[in-house]
Amino acid sequence: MDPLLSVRSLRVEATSSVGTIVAVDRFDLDIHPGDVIGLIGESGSGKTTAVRSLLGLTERNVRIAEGSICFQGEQVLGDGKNHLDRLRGRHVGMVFQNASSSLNPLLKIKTQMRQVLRVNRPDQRAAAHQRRIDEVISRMGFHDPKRVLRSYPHQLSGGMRQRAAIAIAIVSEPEIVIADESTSALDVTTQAEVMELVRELATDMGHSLIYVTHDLLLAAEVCTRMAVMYGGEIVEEGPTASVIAYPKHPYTLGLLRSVPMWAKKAPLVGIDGTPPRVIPGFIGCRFASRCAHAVGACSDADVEWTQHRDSGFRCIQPEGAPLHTGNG
Amino acid sequence: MTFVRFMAPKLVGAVITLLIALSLAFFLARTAGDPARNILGEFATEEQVLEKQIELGLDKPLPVQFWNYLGQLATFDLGDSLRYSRSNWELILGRFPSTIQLTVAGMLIATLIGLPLGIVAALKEGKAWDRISVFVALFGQSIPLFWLGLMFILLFAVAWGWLPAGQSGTWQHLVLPAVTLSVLPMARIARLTRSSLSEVLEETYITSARARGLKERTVVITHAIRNAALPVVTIMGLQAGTLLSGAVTVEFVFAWPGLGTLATQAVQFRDFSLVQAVVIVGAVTFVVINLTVDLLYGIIDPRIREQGS
Repeated sequence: MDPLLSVRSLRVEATSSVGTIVAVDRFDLDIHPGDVIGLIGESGSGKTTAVRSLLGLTERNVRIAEGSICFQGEQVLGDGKNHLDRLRGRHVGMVFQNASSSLNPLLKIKTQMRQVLRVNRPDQRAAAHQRRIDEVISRMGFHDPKRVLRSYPHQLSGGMRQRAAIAIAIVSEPEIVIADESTSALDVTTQAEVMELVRELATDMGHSLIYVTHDLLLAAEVCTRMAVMYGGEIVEEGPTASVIAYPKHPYTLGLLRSVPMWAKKAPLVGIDGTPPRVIPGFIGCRFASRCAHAVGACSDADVEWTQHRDSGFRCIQPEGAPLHTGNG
Repeated sequence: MTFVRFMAPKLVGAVITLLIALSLAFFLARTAGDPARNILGEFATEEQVLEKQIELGLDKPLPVQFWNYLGQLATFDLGDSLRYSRSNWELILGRFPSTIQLTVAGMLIATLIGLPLGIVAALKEGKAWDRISVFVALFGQSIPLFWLGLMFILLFAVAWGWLPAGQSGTWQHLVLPAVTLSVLPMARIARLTRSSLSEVLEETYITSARARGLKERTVVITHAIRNAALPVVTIMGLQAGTLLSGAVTVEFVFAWPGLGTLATQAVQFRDFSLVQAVVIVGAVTFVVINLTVDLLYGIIDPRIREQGS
């Protein structure tokens, strides 16, 4: 099956007064219909910059330096083209981290939903839009969906606001929904509820979901695939079960061991050090400085991607043993 | 209903403000020496002064005078002018339209230029348009009104003869004073619009609006500008007040027959009754403008509308 969205060698640079850093590098990702991809990484790993770049919504000092993006086989970025704005809303919907700041405070929820439909489904009549709004809002698990539509954002609770933000993002039926840390501002119970809802809504229609998070546990519950980011690169990618059971990249293993639930009898281990500042011209594995297995070759040349069936990683000293038998 | 509950406390506040202003007007007018003596001049005898005081009710104790004053105001009686021997109402009504005409024209010019200037500057932050607007704003804020007015007269009226130098009548007469008056509020409006809008443009809900696929025009107009409007409306309300006082200077420079000129003359002739009346009318105008600003707040922002209830 052809991928819905295909990203190749994306490189994003951020320039500030202290110089340029490479926020995202050698970023390849294929998204197929029905995929729920967890993009995992700690803060500063470049995951948010990567997904914002997919929509061309980077901040002022950030630019896409290289890469190509195809949507449904049609190139939207690369070869001098940049049509990323065509994807926004219509094909790719985005739910932001904090609904309190991502909803316009002066417009009612229904006004914001209607605007999205007007611009992305101009072929439909107002009555069809209204039906679609009612349908989406009624599936969001509100006690009183009508009241939510009539409300301004500040009149809703945090959980309700996040649901409303999701409703706005999916109302025009985009093929891909990106949820960027969309639940981290909510309490744990609501988090799981909302994530499950997003997954359901996206995949029921055969659509895909990119779930950006630092929460491995939550991602493991809802995602079919996982892509682990470190220092702007994807260091490991594959089906959730195999990434968790047989992590290949030492960083992935380190992440898994820092989750209390999975560390089990093995002691809970953190990863020493901090992520590197990747400047242009950086050579070698980004994780080498914090990696227990690092050898000289790790820093001598860029590490190539190793693909084995539906999983891949970027490491020359991959882990062999599965996590649960414990090798530490 | 929300609106009634939102506006009711503001109305109470307005009445209190007005009462304070009325009291101030009353007491300040009596700090400039004995009006009776001022009217009659230094050569009048004590008997004549006493007679005048009794005529004006100035012989009574201050609280009684104040009570009578409030009673007068309650019947919308602003008293009579000491100098012109006519009712203050009549005098003020004769001048008020001219001042309103001048300030409204000034505010209109300020808004029509200041707003677009600020918006363009925010959208093109760091570019040439932005620099120009920042320069204009700085220039407009630092220049003294009377000097600007004189320069305008010197250039447009005296040197080139394009426009009349003073007095009123046709729209040509209005141009120079209105433009002079508009410079300061225009600069403030431009500066505040720029900073407010560029701040809003950095908000997540703007990125979010773009992510929804909305056209850039919709993003800027319905999402950014409306959110940036609150502080701008505030400053416009405040400017309207400043404009009234600025009008005093501008009316003087351009011999514009407005309230400002009337007030200046009243002060010069120690016509405390007229000064008092002008102050009252000014205070009422200011309070009404502030109430309008409050009302606009409520219309723009639903969050503010609910705070009242």
